[in-house]
Amino acid sequence: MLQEGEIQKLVARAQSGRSDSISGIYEVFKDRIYRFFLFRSENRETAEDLTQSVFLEMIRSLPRYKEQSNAKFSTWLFQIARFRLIDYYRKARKKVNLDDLEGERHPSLTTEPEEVAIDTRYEAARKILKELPEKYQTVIHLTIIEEFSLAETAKIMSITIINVRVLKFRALKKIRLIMEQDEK
Amino acid sequence: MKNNITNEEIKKILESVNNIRLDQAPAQRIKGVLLSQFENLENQGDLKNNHFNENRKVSIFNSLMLKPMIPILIALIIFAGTTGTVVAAENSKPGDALFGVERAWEQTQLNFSLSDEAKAERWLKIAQEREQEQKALLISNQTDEANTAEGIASNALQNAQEVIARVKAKHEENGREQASESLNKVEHKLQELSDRFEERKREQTERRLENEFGSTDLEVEVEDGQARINLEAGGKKYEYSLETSDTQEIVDSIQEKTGISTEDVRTLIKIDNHSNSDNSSDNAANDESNTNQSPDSVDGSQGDDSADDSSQNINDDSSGQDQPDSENTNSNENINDDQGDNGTEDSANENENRNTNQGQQQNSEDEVTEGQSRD
Repeated sequence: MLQEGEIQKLVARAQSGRSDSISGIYEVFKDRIYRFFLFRSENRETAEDLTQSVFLEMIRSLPRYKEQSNAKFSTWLFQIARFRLIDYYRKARKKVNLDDLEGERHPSLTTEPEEVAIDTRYEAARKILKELPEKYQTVIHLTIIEEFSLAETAKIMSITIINVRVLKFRALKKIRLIMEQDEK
Repeated sequence: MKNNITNEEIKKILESVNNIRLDQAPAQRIKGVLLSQFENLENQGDLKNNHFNENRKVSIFNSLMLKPMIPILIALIIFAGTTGTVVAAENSKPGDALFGVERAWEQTQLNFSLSDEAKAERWLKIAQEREQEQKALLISNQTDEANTAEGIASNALQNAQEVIARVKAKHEENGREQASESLNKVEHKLQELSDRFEERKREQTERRLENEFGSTDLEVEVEDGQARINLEAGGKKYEYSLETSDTQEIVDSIQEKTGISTEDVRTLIKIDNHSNSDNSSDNAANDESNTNQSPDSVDGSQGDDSADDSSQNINDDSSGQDQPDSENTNSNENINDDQGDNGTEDSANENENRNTNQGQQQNSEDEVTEGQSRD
């Protein structure tokens, strides 16, 4: 995992037109962005397309990016991802009710038999996240899975820190409820 | 029922998601797309806004060298367009689309003519141009347009004469007797132009009357307060005398006999004046009939002699002195033996009267009041 300073150097070089730096940024963030979409999209291909769209938008917006002392580059990148997700929901809502897709297994995980143990936990995590409203999903993903601070999460979600705290509290409460119901 | 699920347990379950990776194949495909798009954007110059400036191609107008040139280029284009229009309008005539532009340009030149001499020259030039245009229009049977040109030329002539009179008045105020050489040249040309206009007008009137009345000839000879009139109009000939030298009476008489309008009679009649003695009333009549001048204009207090450097003021107690006549120009020195009981007429008669062959005087200088200008 690269430190923020190294990431900023990559970004600066990418801004000066270095394509190898674009590759470096992509390699650092591709899995994280992909995971962000994985439980929220219709299938794996959609998650991949959304991931690609985030990095394309990053290239187009990179000239306008300015390093900020109180925000990491990943905060900016996840902001793009969040906007992409909202766009995706807006379009998908017209086509299919995402709740109807519950229980669909992600194909990429079925091809790796050695990760059975991980797969069990992943299945539990997937089920929990799937049952959460979008805002709860996002706040849990950003604060627990991505380990963004409350301030960074607030910036990504364009809400206040207090809202993030409230959302996170309610999301955890909801998760407990889901897990308890599962144990019954 | 388990109610004590900790945040740590939830976190452990959720963190399992971090083991998920994007597969190699889609990861490479996406990377290829990104790099390809990055190069395309860079080549198109779309990655602008300063950060990619090292390798970015810039448009010509973004060049620092050309940016200050943009207003200059725009000004040049406007200037070239305006100049082109004015040049194109220079040869336009009344009735042409660009004639208005030519008139506007002439007016601009007049406005930028600072001295009165320059203004007089400018008016003269306008009158000359209109005269040429009038000729061309008459040849092409564009009568209305020709009349327009004539009207403008006439106004220009009148304005030029007014300006010259004003300049002379200024010279007089300053105690200078002689006008500048350039002004005299302008005045001379104006007189020639004016004569040509009068001649042309007379010819036109003759042609028109010939169509209406047949062969027309009006001759008037004035001698010793008696007018001998020979007329030929409408196939009839009249020969008679009037006990008057008053132009108005003569004109009225001819109009009554022939039916020709007084205006046409005034244009056509040639008065041969064989005697200038006791002709003060004649001159006064001529003054009134010629130039629509106001009563004040014959007031001797105007110092009319100053309006013409060739004026000769001869006041003699002796009796009248005959002057040789010229067919075209009667340069009459009015010698007044009438002693001062009619100062107004005396002064008026002191003028050198430049009578044209129609007996009309160009006394427009008398009319001029400073600042008046007719266009």
